[in-house]
Amino acid sequence: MVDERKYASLIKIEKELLTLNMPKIIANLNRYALDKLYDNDEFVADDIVGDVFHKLFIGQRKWYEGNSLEAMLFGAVKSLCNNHNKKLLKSYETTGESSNIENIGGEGHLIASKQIEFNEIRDLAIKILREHDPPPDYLEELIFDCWMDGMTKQQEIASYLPEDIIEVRKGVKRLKRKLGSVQKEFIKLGYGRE
Amino acid sequence: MAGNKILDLIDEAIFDYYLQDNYKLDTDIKVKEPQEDYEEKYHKLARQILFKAKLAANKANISKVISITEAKGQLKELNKKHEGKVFTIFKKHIEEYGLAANYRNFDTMNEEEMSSILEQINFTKLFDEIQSDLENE
Repeated sequence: MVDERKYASLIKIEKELLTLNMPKIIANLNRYALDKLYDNDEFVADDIVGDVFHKLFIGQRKWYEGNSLEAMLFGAVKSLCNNHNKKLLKSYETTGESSNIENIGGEGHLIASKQIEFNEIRDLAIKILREHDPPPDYLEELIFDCWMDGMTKQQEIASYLPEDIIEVRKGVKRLKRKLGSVQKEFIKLGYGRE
Repeated sequence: MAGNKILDLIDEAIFDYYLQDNYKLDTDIKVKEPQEDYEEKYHKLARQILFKAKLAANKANISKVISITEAKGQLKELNKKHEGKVFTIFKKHIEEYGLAANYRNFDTMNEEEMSSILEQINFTKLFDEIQSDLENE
């Protein structure tokens, strides 16, 4: 099938960037990269965000007209972070180093964990989450449950609960800060390698 | 693997969290969350990125510049192919550019007259528009 989407010229990209709150989007791209990176390396996060814009300006990353430029930028950060994480895990496997991610689980642990059903893993995630200080509040737990049921969009969650979208957004913001331990623990168990 | 699925779901939710923020300037949408004061670092980066965007856009514009000789040649070529149609479209666009367009006839227009018009316009845009009008006819 032929891709009929038209990608935007650099002139259009510049115009669109001028409509955005650039310090805000750069700060959030940076925070998102830090959330995504397994080693939470601030320098890598800075490099990734800079790289996304560089690639956009030299045409390596395309923005298709009619799509959201913000979505394209966050998508590009996501993809570069995934690449970095893959390399990171590979280097730990090769060198046996642990760096910021301590004691990644051994092969035996990995095989055993494969046998555990989704619900058990989900319970494990909630258990780790509750160990956070402070623990998640009622709304945060509901939001986490929605995620685990495959409902990841704030709008969907707000209609389902039902709850005010602003409250859901605030809940996600609080919950987001508590997820580091779940992600780290899961990576230790051998997940996140795709 | 179930664990991977959980990490993916968390990933999707966090992606959506960042994406749903409002990044537009001059918007009517009322954000109830307190406005955050972004670090100087991000203001500086924003200025640098916008500067680079401007440079990249200018560079792209310059690389598309067509010489006057080339432009004249293209006009003549088009006029040969689409006899009688090009001048009307050309004149219409010249008028749209806000230039004085009291020209007699394309065939009788001398080189000096053509050059004086061509020097004042964006050739690339003009030819794109002429081409598109001819295709639509």
